[in-house]
Amino acid sequence: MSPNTWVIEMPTEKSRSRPYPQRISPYGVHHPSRDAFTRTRDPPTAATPTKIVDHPVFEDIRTIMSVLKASGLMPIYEQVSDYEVGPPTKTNEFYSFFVRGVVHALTLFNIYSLFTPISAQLFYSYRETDNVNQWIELLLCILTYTLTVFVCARNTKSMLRIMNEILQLDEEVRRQFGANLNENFGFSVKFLVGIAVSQTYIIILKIYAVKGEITPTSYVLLAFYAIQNGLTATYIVFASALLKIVYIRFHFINQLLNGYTYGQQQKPKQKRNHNGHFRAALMDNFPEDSLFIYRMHNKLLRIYKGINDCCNLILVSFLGYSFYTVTTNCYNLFVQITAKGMISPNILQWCFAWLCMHVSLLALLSRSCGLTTREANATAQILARVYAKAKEYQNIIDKFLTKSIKQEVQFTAYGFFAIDNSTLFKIFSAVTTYLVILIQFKQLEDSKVDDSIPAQT
Amino acid sequence: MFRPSGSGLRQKLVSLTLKAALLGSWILGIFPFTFDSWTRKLHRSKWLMIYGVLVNAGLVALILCNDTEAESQERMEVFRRNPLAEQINGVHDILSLMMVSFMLFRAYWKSGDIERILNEQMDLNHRHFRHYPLEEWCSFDKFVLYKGLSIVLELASMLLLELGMSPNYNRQLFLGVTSLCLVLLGVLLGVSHFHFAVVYVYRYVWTVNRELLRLVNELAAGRTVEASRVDYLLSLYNRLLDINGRLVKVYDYQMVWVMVNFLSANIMSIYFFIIFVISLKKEIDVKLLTIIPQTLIVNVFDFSLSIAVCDLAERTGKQTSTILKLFNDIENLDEKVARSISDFSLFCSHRRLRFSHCGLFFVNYEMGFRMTITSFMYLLFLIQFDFWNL
Repeated sequence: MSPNTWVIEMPTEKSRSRPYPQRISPYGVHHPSRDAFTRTRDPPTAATPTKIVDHPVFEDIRTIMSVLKASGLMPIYEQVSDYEVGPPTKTNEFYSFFVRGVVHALTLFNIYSLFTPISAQLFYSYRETDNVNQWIELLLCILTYTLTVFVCARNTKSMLRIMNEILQLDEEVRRQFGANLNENFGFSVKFLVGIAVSQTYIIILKIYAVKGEITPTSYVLLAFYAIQNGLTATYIVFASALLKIVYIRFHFINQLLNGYTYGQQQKPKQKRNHNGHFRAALMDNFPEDSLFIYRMHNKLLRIYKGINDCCNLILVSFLGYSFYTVTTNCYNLFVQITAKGMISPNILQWCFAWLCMHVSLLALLSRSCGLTTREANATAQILARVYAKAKEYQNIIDKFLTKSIKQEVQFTAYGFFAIDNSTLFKIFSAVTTYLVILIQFKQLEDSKVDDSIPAQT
Repeated sequence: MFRPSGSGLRQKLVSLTLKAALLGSWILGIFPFTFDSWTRKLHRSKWLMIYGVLVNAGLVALILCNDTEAESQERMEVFRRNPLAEQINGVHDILSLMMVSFMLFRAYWKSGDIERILNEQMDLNHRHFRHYPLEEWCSFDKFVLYKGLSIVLELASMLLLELGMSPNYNRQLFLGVTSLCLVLLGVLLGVSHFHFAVVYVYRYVWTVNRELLRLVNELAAGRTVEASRVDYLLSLYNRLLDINGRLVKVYDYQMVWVMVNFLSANIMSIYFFIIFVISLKKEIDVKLLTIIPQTLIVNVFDFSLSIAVCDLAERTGKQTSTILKLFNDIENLDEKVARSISDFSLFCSHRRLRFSHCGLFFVNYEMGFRMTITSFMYLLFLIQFDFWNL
């Protein structure tokens, strides 16, 4: 037991006044389903949960999970029941180890070839500074990916713990409200496809650009570079998906609370939703519901913090790498556009592909972080609106509100800065600043060259 | 207070580090207190203060008399190429000298406050926190050891820099380097006093957090908890925050000065390195390649450590509020306990464990990140100036 991993034993179900109350879900969904993450496309047949383990948990983000599992970034966990996952078996663990070992070996090989003339043919560009830039970019990419692999390997247990906590929470929600918390995670698949396409495109561009015969070493270097980029990007998408999962749960309890707000209670009672239930909840249930909501909120905050702790370092290095790539590509674009008469379509396409990929990833990450943070902080605001409703429950609300004063939740990159929608703006303002400095350097360099040419003649 | 909390090797090392820091401070005269073991109190000693002033004045005089820095050939080449570098170097030297005298002056001037703070901390430790065991999770040991390591590394890197860069070895050089190292040690030990005090505050706050967690767990298990226990923890917390506030007030000018000095030293060393290697197109030999990066790394380590410890304490303070939230979903909470918890959480939301130096900035990772970015910017501007000179 420690303040760093706060554990609290929950009160037993027997101590509750009504052990399995079926309350009205704020979504109006009344489909108890076997699995919290499965989207119910077919109408459920049984109202009681069955113990059949044929539905995999986290089915919605299955694609991205399988990619991460195959690359050794996620543990290949065992499904114990519908609401629990266990540690991976020995064989699977060995597989993950093996993949990570191969990755590290390839990384070492790549670093070796970067520091020796073997890879010289890949840096063909017309100016020396560009080559150095690209070289640094490659090194940063390698660093980011290696860090990702290391951090993932170290955080295997906490990742499983987080998943189990999410599943537990779902079980509780399902038992209490029969609600099925699901959402469309189609964006993750779209992003996966997008990443794969852009990486392939970039490689093809590079292969076309290189003059002469390409050695096998260069092929290995390029392929591994693309894989590293792709997997790092995939991990970012995965983190966003996890955050989205947390967001949905925060949203659920906020909706639940919203049912008690003054405005909702005043709505005409005849208005029913399609399931025939009142959206606005009865105030009598409030004491018990509030306890449930407070507990959910604490658990969700814990999950949220757990995800942040797991991704911390990866996010910092990814944001740094991404920032560097965006800056250099913008600079290259600028140079290409302003250069007189020697615009190379290859480099233009290359820059655009990189910019598209990184900007969309940054946008996805900051958006999902921003959404989740906003939803987590919204609970106190909604509760404050319930305050005016009934005098007898003000004590209960006070309990929560006093503990939420000046306690804004934040998703941070190792405490260096908060990641939310403003991050995108900050990154682009920084890119602009550095772009101006780089351009100034370039002009200085050019003027020096101009000065030295007449002096020689 | 410095007794090892366990029998393991780490605990022994921690106790050794603390004792070595205390002894070093006494010898260099920057800790002008005597300890009365009967009353368990520190007393200010005028004689120690006079001794400290004499020792440090002597050391500074020795440095000034034996200034061998200018003889280094590489340095002269850099200065010949870039007069700006020479000016910056001169400003930095003057700043460093002022920093040393200011730190000493402030330490003696505020010694009354320091005495009271340390006495209160010892009192807290003896009366309230002595019986709580330190667990594996607490980073107290780690941060004490890191600080000890960083002091040793700083000294070693200074020695390496001064001895490695100078062309000829003579008695004057050795005298100068020794006195320089001793003065540096004095400054580092002065900084480490603040560091250790913060680590102790962190440790106590951590203990309060753990006790609160224990209370939640007891309540969750259906047992009853006395409201007085919460009140007791609140009073301890209040005292801790009070001590922390006073501590920051005493040390703020010194810490700001040291931080600025370290940052500018980092920027300068990178700048000189770049001028030497890129602008002058010199061959990099092994000597240069080891000496300059290692000073840089050690400096960055020390700087990040001083930020990390404040951030750690701040985060632990934030955790108190998070733990208090856990009391929300306890059913049938006794009214008195609920009121005490409310008091505690209101207290936490209005007074927080934070480190604000002179009201200029809060010390945490966010500020550290911004400082790093800013120093990188300044480096870029300096390089642009150098480019201009081509």
